[in-house]
Amino acid sequence: MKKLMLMFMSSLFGLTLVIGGTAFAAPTAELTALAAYVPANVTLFAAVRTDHAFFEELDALAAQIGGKMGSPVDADDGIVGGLNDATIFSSNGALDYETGVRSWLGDSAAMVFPHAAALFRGGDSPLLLVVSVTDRPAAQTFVEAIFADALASGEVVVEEADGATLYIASNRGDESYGVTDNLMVIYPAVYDDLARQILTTTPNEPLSESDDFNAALEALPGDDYSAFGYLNLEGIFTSLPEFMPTSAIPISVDFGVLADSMGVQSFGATLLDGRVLTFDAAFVHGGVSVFEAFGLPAPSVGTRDALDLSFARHVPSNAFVYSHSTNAGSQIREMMDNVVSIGDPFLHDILVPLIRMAGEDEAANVVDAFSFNTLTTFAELTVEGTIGLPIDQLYGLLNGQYASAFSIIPDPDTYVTFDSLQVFENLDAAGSGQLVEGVASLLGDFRADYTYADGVITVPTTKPLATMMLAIDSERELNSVGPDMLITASDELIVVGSRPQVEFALAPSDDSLAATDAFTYDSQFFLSGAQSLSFVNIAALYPLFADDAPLAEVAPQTDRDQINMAIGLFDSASMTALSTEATTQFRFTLTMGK
Amino acid sequence: MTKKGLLGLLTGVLLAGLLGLVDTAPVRADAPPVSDLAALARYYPSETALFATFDISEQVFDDLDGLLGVLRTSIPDLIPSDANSRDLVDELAGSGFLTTIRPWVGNYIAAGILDVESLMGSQPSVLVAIEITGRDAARDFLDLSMSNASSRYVESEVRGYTLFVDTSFQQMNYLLGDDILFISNNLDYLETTIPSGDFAKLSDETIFQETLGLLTAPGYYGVFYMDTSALLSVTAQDEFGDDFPMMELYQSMVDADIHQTFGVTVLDGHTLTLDYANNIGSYENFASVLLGDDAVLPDPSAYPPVDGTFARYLPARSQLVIQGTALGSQISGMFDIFTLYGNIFQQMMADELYGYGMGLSEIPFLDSDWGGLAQGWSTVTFAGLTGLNLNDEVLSWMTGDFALFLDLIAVESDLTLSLDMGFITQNTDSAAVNNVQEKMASAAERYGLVNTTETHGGGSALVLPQLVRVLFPPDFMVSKDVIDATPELDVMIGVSDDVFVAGSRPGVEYALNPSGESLADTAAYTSAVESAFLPGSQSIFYIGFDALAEALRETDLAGMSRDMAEVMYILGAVESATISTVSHSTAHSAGRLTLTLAQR
Repeated sequence: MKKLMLMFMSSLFGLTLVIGGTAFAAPTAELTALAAYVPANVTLFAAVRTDHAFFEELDALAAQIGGKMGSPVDADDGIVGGLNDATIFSSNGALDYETGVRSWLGDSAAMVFPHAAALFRGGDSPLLLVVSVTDRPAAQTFVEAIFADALASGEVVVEEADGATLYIASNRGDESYGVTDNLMVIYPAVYDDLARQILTTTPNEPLSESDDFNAALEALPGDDYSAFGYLNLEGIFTSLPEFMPTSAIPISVDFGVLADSMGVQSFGATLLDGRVLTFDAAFVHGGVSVFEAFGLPAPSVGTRDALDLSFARHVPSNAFVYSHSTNAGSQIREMMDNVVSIGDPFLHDILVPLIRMAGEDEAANVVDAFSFNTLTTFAELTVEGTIGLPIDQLYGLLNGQYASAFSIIPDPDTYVTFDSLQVFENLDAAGSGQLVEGVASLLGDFRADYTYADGVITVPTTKPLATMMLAIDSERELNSVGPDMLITASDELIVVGSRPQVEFALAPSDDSLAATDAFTYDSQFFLSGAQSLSFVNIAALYPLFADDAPLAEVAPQTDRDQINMAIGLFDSASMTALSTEATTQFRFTLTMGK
Repeated sequence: MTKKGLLGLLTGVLLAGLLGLVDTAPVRADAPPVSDLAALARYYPSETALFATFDISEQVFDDLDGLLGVLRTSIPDLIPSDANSRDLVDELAGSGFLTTIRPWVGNYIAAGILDVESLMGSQPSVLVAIEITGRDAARDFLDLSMSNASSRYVESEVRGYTLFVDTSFQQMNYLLGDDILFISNNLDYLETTIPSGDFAKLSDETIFQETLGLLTAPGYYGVFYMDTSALLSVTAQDEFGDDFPMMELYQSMVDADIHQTFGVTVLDGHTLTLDYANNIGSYENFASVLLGDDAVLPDPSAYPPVDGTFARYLPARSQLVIQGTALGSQISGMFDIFTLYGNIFQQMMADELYGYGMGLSEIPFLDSDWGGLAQGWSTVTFAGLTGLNLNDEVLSWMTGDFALFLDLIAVESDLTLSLDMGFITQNTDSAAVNNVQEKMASAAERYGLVNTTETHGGGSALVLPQLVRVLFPPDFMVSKDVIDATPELDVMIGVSDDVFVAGSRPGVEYALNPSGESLADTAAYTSAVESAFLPGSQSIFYIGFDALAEALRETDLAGMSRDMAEVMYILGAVESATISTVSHSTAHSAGRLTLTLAQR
């Protein structure tokens, strides 16, 4: 039995989610219209646009990328071409896309993963494909064309049921089709009951009216997407006890609490402003913490301030990777607290009994003697004793904006070298002064090679081994002295990093990352109120492969051309995140070059 | 001279000398002063790298017999009533030493290496000088010995000396004077140099006089002098050659002009004493080679001398005590020493690695400053345990006296015995010391340790009962209840106006509130302070054997086995043992090891 349609549509989903899904968006209400036909308890619902205009837009996008890569995309190789080939093949040449599919295919299709039980049961595909239909006769013609031989042989039988025409495969693992005036459902025969329900009845509680579904939908930061996904892991964990008896699990797990802790997730993909491939993910938090399912306490999670995007003015424009967040002190504090509150009960109440059950009493005693509280206390006291600041004051002074940057820069001696920067907003001038002084004191204790003058610690460095090896391989005369690493604090900042970066951070010019076209442009697509940002400034790599770059001496022109072409495809990439008590949002963007 | 006769001569005089090394001399007020003892150095050339001289007078035998008498009072079973040193030497040396040799031998014997380069050859150039009291008697002895010898000797007169040349083997030549007998394999030195007297003499060398002058006891029974730099020079050249990478280091030590001396004597009639002293002629050169041109080795003479009365904070039962001053500076100095040894090791490793085409930097930590690593990680670890900055908050005020103590004690619980150990130092800054106690209490709280506070005398103590008890394994010989019921296992951090003390409960309680007899009140310790420790000692190490024996009895360890009973019996002969050291300057330092016999 042919499964080409299901396979092709699955591939289409994958393609659209990865690339095409980010294209030209539709309002989520339209995109998720098929959710009205699906029961609320499905584990996965993923929808994608299927209108012809969308396919053409995908093809245009692929052609755009292919053109930049120097590999033009033939029209036959696009989405439309692929669908056409699949249709001709499936119908043994009786139909093509234009006549056999486009005529009835509606604006969206949805992939449904009905229940986690199918996952554990194994066997054939646990997926159903629900497609909107605009012309039922044409749709039935399509189905009958691809089932022509099967219908003749009796491998597929036709059944009319409450307004639906069902093409049922006799082999329960093979594809069956159901068609109504609005829908086509492609399903493995094992899901016959569910397919009939979708095709012939209106669910009492459709997914579209589910609170979880709508919460997940609402949690997405955008209004329009080309592809949408909804994931309800609760079903998976609710089903676990059926296939994994609690007696088989050596630890006590409350699967109900575990399922409650999962929450629901949604995903959306779109193309913003014609060149920003965007993928959003939203996590609606569960009612309880996952740790509580194992009898452990819930971790404490504090709030974090929003990013001040202008903070990137302290980072030079040659930064290749830039990471920005806030409340580093609170985050470290929470991490330490949670390691203790969760880690110690885990060790002593769960892990140690497990080890004893395995008959390893000596190992259990060793583990039992360990304490995360001891570890974190040691770490905090170490900081207090060496730096000279109470730990709470140290955490407090790190609670403003925080950024790190990494640059790959041309180097006349080793072709390339690296600069780095860590910069904190200074919230405590007195404390930051003590911090720098304490670090200097510790370096003194280690008798490190450093100087400390006027509040600036200077540590000489050597260039990274990898870059030196490059120079050695080419028998280039090696100067291994790298830029000094500086540690200092101004009234505004606490800064650690390579001398050029630190000096720039303390006295920024217009040539900052914040002023670059890439950052300025991308920042309009960052999540509003984002609390963390990772930004890749691909344009910062251009000078490395320029004709007058040191690397040109050893990198062949053809190699550099290919690299330049590859990095020229995109200007930048970013990830922003925003977390509240109820939800966590992520946005990933990849901005194509103009 | 027969070989037996020769051996008898040398063995006898050397035995007498060596016995002098352990001589207790209770019947003689003083051993001879260094100047007398080293008088024979006038016969040795100025470049002599090894020189030893001993008192072999009749008095040595009397002194040794006195020693046996003292020992007999403590361990009569091991010292027969008729035992005496003369019979012992005679028996060991043979040849009728007492009747044929002793009568004409004088008070001193010396031995030295004439040519340091010869040490690397098959026959080092040795000169033995024996003071004699009767030339004729000595001549008779030599005649008798030579007549029975396998070698053939030719006799001649040289400027008042009689020279006997070993024509067979050229090994044992003799030069006999009115009051001196020389034995040497260096014929030229006997035949020409000594008779002429025209040579630069070791006794006139300033460095020799200066080095021996560092021996501070009134007199010695034996003195050993060594030109360490010269010895290093020839050994390095011989072993490794000029290309050896350590040659720079060796050469630096040669240039540093290092000389050392050892002296053996008896103090206060019953304290066996070994003194040693170092004389570094060019300390700056030594430091620069080891630590770099700009570096300066720590100046150990900067430490003040220990206060002998500091032992008032230790109970009379104290058995092992290490006392010093300025622990803060000493620990910093210890890190400098790590750097020094690290540099030496790195120089050694650099050449080894070069042979494999590797550099020091390719092996983690190998090219690091070892002192820095030790200091840095000590700082980090100490901070992690206490929340205190090791240097700024702790070492900085540890400028006074300090003591480490370790005692075996009996306890009332079924544990029966325990170790009382700890550390005491002078409270030089009450605010800083209180800060230490407070932060340690805070750290204990944060670690979740049980901690309480107690008052003892005018001081307070933080009590940490779990610290030691957690070290006992579950299958220890006594139950956890017994461990818990042994308060002596409590760890305490105490502070009074006078001291900071950390250790187990008994010692800490005593230091905070000294009551009853203290170590400083005991006769043994008083004796050690008065006569055993070097004057101005900056560090002392003391073992009280009486107290140790008492503890062994109280804890019933003494009765555990026959061997232990024998050990106890022998321990009864010793009152105390000490080591003390002092640095007078960066160039001059001295040390003293003593063993004081009990006088019952």
